[in-house]
Amino acid sequence: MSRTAIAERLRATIGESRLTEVLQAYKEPRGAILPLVTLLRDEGVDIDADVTAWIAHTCEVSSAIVLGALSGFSELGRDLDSIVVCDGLTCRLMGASWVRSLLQERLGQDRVCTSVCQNASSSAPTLQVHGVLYGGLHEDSLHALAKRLERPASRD
Amino acid sequence: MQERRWLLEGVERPDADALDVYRRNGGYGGARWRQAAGQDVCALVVDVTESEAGRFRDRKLAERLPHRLIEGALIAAHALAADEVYLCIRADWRRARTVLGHALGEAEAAGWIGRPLGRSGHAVNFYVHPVPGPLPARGGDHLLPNLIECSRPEPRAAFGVDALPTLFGGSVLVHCAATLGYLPSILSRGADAFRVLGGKDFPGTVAVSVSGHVRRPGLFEIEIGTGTFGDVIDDLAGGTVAGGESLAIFCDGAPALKGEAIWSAAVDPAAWSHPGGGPQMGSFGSGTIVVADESVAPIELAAKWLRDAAELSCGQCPGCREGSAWLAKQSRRLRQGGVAGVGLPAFEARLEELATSEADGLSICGHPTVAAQMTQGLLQIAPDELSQQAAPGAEPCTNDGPLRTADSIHLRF
Repeated sequence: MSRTAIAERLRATIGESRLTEVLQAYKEPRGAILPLVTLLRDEGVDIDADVTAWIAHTCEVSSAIVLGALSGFSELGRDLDSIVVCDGLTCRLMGASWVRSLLQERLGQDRVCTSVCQNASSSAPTLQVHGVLYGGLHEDSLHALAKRLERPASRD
Repeated sequence: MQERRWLLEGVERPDADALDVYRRNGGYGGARWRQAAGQDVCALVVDVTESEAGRFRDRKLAERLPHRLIEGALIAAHALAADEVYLCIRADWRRARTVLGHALGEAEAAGWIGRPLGRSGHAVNFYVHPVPGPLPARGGDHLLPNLIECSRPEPRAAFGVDALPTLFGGSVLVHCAATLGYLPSILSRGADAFRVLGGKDFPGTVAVSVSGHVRRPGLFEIEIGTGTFGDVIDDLAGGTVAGGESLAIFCDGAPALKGEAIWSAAVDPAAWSHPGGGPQMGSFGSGTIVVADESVAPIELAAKWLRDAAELSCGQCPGCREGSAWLAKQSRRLRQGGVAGVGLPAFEARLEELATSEADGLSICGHPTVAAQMTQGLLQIAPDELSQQAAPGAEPCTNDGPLRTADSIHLRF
């Protein structure tokens, strides 16, 4: 796909008015790097080399600046399809290791990862899939969730 | 201008009013307000990132009471004559981001933001700035402006103790979300009404996040000085799940407490050595409390805490970068038990070095200090456990217990 086609697709994904709004929010366009990355990930776009180049072009910086900025966030290194089990202090006490083991057994090692505290400790143990937080997990609900996630991933 | 001066006096007057609220909550406010009042502040940066484990008050505020947060930020921005407000929120809190976005849309439609307001004709624009996590705990008020300028998630060294952080060359005030949430009621009802609640030096209420092995974990807003953390656990959070001596972990750097000590620890910053200078050793912080029952091994929690601290260290300060990684490795070996080569004196000395690194000027933020103090607090609970684990033949200890779910979840504002 050509650069122009990629740019058009990404602009359409975000929406022109939203893109303008994000870029205008900052005195210097480089401030918009993280908001653009977040918007694209929300829409299910993987931040690959082409997308990085488009963000760099849009924010008037080099791709190296974008890559350098993004390398500081472990969250951005995860697949969009990942099941992120909270491994914070409270979740660990409430059985996060058990949750992780069960999901890894059902769905495979690669699909399940852990994060530091997701700051929803009152609902511990918690996990996130496609940006949706699941809390107050118990054995039955976990099995039901695992069954749902066994299907090919779909963003509903 | 008159209107602005009134607002500034309302939030800044040191003898009586809301300054105490900011100071008490351990946020970035307090003294910063006075500095900001004399300067040309271009933006207000609101911290909705909640980088401390076990705390969920800012997240709940954004999800449940977004209008209060927006109103508080609008008042503060108006008082500072700041044209922009950046609400820095964790990117993975998608629900909170959506709710806040809707509330901002409503505020804009109602003419409160983005248009000249009041007699001053000053317009304030709001922007939601998503921040991917995780961030170093206690990164200080130079971290978020650095993130907005899109550098790495690294705190910035200040040019002077009193220097306000800068964003694209202009001065900004960075503020906690939760403390801004108090502003609308303080200004509408008056500071005196607020001071009726709580103690003399620390008036008002505090939102306590309670989680862990309790029956009804949740966020409880309680009047300062009206009870102990034991009362909060028993009366509001429904008590502990299992009997025996519970362990209360304060995630803001205070020592952990066990058994009866929890019942004598007052929910009052004045009773704590920091900030109130009271007899209770440690920092009151934001009132975050994680409860663990007696089955939990403190060394395991300390190992986990140090591992997270090492992962979140930005790596700028050598003491934090090397020290937290070394401590995480040694604590993992201690947890495994009976591993030769873990020198306890060296372990404890390194921990102390890290705990005092901020005060000694060896780190630019409070991240290593919080990590080390928290670990020291946990290890003080069970001093023998540390030497037992270092002895040859010790069994590995683990808290990887079965799945537990609370009876219900409570939110009381």
